[in-house]
Amino acid sequence: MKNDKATRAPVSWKKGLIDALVNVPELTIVIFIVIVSVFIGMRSDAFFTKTNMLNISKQISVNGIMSIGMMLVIISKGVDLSIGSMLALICAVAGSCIQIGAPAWAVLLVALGLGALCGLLNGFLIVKLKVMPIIVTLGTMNIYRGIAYVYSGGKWTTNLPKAFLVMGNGLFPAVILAAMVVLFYIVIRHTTFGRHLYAVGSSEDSARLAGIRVDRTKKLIFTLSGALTGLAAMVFIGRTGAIQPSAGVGYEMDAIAAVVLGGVSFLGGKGSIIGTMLGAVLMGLLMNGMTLLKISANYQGLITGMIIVLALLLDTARTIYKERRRR
Amino acid sequence: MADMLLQLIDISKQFPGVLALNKVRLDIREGEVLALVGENGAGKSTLIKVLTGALSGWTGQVLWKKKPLEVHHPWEAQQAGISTIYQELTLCPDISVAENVFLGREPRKKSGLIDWGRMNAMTAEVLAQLDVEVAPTVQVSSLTVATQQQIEIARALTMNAQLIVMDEPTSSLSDHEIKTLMKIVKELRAKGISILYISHKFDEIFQVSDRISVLRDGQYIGTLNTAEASMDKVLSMMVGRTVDIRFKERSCEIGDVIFSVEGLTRSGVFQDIRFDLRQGEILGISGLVGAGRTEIARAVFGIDRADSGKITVNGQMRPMPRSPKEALQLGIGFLPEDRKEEGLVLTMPLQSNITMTDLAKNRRNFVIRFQKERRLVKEYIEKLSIKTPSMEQLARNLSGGNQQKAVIAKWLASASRILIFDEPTRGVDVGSKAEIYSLMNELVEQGYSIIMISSELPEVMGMSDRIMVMHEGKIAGVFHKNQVTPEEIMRYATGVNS
Repeated sequence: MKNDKATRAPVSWKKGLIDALVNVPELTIVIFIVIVSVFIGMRSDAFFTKTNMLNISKQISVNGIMSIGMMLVIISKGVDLSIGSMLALICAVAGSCIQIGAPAWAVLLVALGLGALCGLLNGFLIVKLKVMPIIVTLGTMNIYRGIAYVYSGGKWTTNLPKAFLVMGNGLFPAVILAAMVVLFYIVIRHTTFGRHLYAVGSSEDSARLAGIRVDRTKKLIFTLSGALTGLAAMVFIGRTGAIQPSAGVGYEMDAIAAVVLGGVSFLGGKGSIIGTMLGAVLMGLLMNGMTLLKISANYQGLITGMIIVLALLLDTARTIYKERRRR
Repeated sequence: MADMLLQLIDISKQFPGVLALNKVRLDIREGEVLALVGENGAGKSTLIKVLTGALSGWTGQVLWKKKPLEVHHPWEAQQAGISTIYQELTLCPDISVAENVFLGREPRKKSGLIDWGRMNAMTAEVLAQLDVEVAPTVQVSSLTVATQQQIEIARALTMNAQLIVMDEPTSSLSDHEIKTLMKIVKELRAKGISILYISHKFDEIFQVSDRISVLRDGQYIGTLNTAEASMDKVLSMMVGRTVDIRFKERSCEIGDVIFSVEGLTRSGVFQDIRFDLRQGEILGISGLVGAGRTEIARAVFGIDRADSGKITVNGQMRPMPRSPKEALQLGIGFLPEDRKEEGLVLTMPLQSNITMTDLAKNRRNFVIRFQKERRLVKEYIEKLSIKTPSMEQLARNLSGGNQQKAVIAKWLASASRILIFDEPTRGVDVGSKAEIYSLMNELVEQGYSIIMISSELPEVMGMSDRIMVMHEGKIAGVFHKNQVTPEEIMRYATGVNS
């Protein structure tokens, strides 16, 4: 009967390294981050500067916050394809609140509330219709985007009051992201809700039989994901200084990429928030690096995709190796 | 006497913790129908899997027409001429009858493309042989279970099967459909095809078989000629052992009725179930697979909806619980048959599994108090002697017996006093079995009440205070343990007495 935790002190540093690589899923990502950073740093003097680091922190904030929500959803064996469209819708509604002169805290509340509502709608449909999350959120993805366009008449809004740019500048985005990371780390590790999340994702039948309200848990998960998207929307408005109905296209894919890079399994029941953050960091580094190295936009998608596949392959190899050793 | 078709010699198969087959022998002659009987767990399914190449790692010899046969893969068995019709039909519902019959062996034209014309024609021919009036192009999902089964037989015929193995073929058939199947079996025999017929149903076995072979506890007991056999003789061969001395006499007092069920009905599954449970009592529920025992338990525990029914807990009458959480709060616990899929979350540590129900019960348990949790879990690990290097050990790394103990710990931790055990020692090694039995004894001595669903007659006889026997969704009889013999239980379970 083998133990899943790392066992005694390694005989040689090589064995210790392999042990660590195999047992700590986040280590693969950290190594990737180190390699990518060193690579970019060597090619560009601008990389390891304070301004650039600040830029990176701002860049990963929106995706980072949304990734936390996506992580919750994927751990519970679901997926939410609608968060990018949700972002656009929330921005549009927030935009009109701003225009009628509402104060910043009120707009924030509206954003969080609307996000939660959209998320709850997702959860409700998934639970009641008993349809797979990927199908339901595919539908709501289009619906929310459509509403955003109709609501804003397809128009952009710029020249927002200074108060709203605060959340998107300086250290604010990073601080907000860090706060969310800490909050959800505590929720996942220290509350029953966190346990229920993993139980539902890993073995829904066992969870239900143990008395867990599976339907309620699922709805809550999607609601939280929506609320986090609302928060991300506020940071987004702060960063871009504009409201556009075409915002957030593809953001759900970026969130999924960050989550998957971070070691969360689509089969549910596994994953950590640290891993997800590292995944978001890696994606941010790649974006930043490619800009600094003046790599043509044509190549950016290709390179990002290849790095993602490579990271996943290594993770699969790690899992296979681990399984083999267990037998 | 007809020629020997298949001979199984000294077949043994060991699974971790249990010897499923112990030097089993079996002979089947050409053109005969051999019935194979035995209790749940006697080894019938395992033997079939060996015979059809679905299982590896067994020892012994298989002779086909007196020559040794390598049958370690399903296709090897098929090529030799052995076809199997499993209890769960293996047709693909979304394609046509002909496509299913020739799946993987579709007749081709010279160009390599499928010859639909020929395929449909050949299918129509074989269906006509079986008197099945279904067009070859019909989609399988639109057909009844009985017809689907006939199509599986058609498939076996097109594979030139000389031995067709039928595993509990009539479990989902109506009386009329059973008659048709009996007719088909006799016609197949007339054609020189042998049938290995596995069933619990004595009337069918006596109607259609030539000989009856009996397995018990993984061992071959003997074979009778059907013409000379009697139901009693077969029953005693299936069951014939004295109650195991493992079961200690319990001296605890049985108290008042604390739980009762009335009028529990779900159309097509179970009907008008009523029973009482007293404090400190073990009520054993016996019956064949499909009798509705687990279904009743699931209704009582709020997992599945019943059409009607009331329960009375601690004097209060109320409708059936609508969710497991409600049942939990009433003090009911349910240990499912499939502990891996339904009893534990295998990827989570032992610790989280044990406290799962307790935490789920109360909304006030929002924040987890780790120290309290660790203390509680440690207590239960000691109390139940769960062997594990640490409480963070993932549930899937525990042995079957320890996994079962973990499930028991989970329910004890939730303070449920009415426990429903569904097959408590299935897949559990002998040592842990004994421990689980003494655990159950201790529990009732402490005032817990247990409903035990079990297919193992010694277990039912040895552990229960009263025994309720179910047959096809109805209660066939309720007895005190001293009032009934194992043979009588089997009789009620197989509907002989109804």
